[in-house]
Amino acid sequence: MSYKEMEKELEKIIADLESGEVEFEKASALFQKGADLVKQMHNMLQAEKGKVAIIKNELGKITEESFNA
Amino acid sequence: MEERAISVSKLSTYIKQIFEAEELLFNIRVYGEISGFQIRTGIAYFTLKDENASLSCVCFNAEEISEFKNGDLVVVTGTPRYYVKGGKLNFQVSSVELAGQGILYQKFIELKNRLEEKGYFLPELKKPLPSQINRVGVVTSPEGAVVQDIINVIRRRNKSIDIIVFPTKVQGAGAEIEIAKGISFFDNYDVDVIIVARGGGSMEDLQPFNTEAVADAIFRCNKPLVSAVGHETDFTICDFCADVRASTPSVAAELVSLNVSELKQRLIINKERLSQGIYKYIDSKTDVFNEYKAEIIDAYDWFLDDNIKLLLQNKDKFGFNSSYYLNSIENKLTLLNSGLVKLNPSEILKLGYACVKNVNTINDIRVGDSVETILVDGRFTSVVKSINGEKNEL
Repeated sequence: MSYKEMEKELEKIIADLESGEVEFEKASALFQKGADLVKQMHNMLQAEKGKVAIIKNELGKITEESFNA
Repeated sequence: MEERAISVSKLSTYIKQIFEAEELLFNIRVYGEISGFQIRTGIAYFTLKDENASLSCVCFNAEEISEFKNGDLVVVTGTPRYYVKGGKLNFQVSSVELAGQGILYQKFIELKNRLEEKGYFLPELKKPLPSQINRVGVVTSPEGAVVQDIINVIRRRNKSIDIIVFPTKVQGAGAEIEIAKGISFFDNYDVDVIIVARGGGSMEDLQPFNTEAVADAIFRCNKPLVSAVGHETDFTICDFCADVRASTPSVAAELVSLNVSELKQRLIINKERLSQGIYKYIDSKTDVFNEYKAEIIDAYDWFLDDNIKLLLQNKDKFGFNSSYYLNSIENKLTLLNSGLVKLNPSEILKLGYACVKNVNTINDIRVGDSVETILVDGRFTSVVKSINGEKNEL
């Protein structure tokens, strides 16, 4: 699931709880699911730095070399 | 002097013949700026000029050149004609076309119309950008501000995204081939989205992005592609074919990168809302429970009250009197008790009777047996001396 999809799912859970229109057992499960999503999303936002590379084609061999613009 | 002079007619005719005989002047193309353009009785008249000269033009197919106007830089095709009667040279125009920028624009429109008819711009073919983008492929010049802008914007918003640059020329001869090659390369490479970008420039500068080669490459591409070519007001064939058009390279970079700072803020808010949400839910249910509880208690109290009232109301009807009831029971017990007392063997002995233990009939004893006799105040043992079987007179 992508970050955006997780965020959408989390907001739906919050809306359901705030509405008060779900059964008690389901509310408990929803809250747990929401807590799990928060944790996953937090981890995703802590991802390491990505690379900047330029494509090099030497005699048909394609490589990515570090690129400083 | 008169012998060496020729007539006006002869001279004019001679001039006319010179023009008519010079094949080089047939359907010649002449470049200049239109001025004094007007149409009368279906004939267009204008002057074609440059900095140093002007040429009177006439076109008998006025409706074919009616869209031109003063100031247009054009190339006219025609033949100069000398009119003897008026002594004037006119350039008889057969066709007019825009020159320079105008020609490029015309070609752009023709290509655009052709590609549109082939379905290259259909909205239903536009692919959405992925919701999760981890690697971005950028087709652009490795030098200059454009690639730097894209890298800086993406890094500022989301440092985790990989940025892969496919270096190409972005103007001049052969640029469209390299651009098309870059698009095809990334279509089969590990990237989530492709950006095709170059900065602003003249129409000639942007020409590689207005070619069929680039249009075909984008049309065949299966990956989502963002076009960011030229200035905000420039629209190229590349823009029309792309899935998304960005007005500038920086905007393209924003489109492909989630802003992590904003996401973190939203996550903090949503986390708080989640906590508040469950508390709010519990509170709402507690309120409902308390309401039900109050209703039940009220209902039960009412039930009890009513039934007690019913009992009290009806106790007189059925003669219910607790004291009387208890008294009658006591009396019954007393009677039963006195009956029991009378049946007590001790009471019988008090009357003077004796009880011979284990002997109910004379058949139970024989002469010489020892028997025990019980009296009210004790007992003794005796021996049977004789047995008399006569009927008891008592």
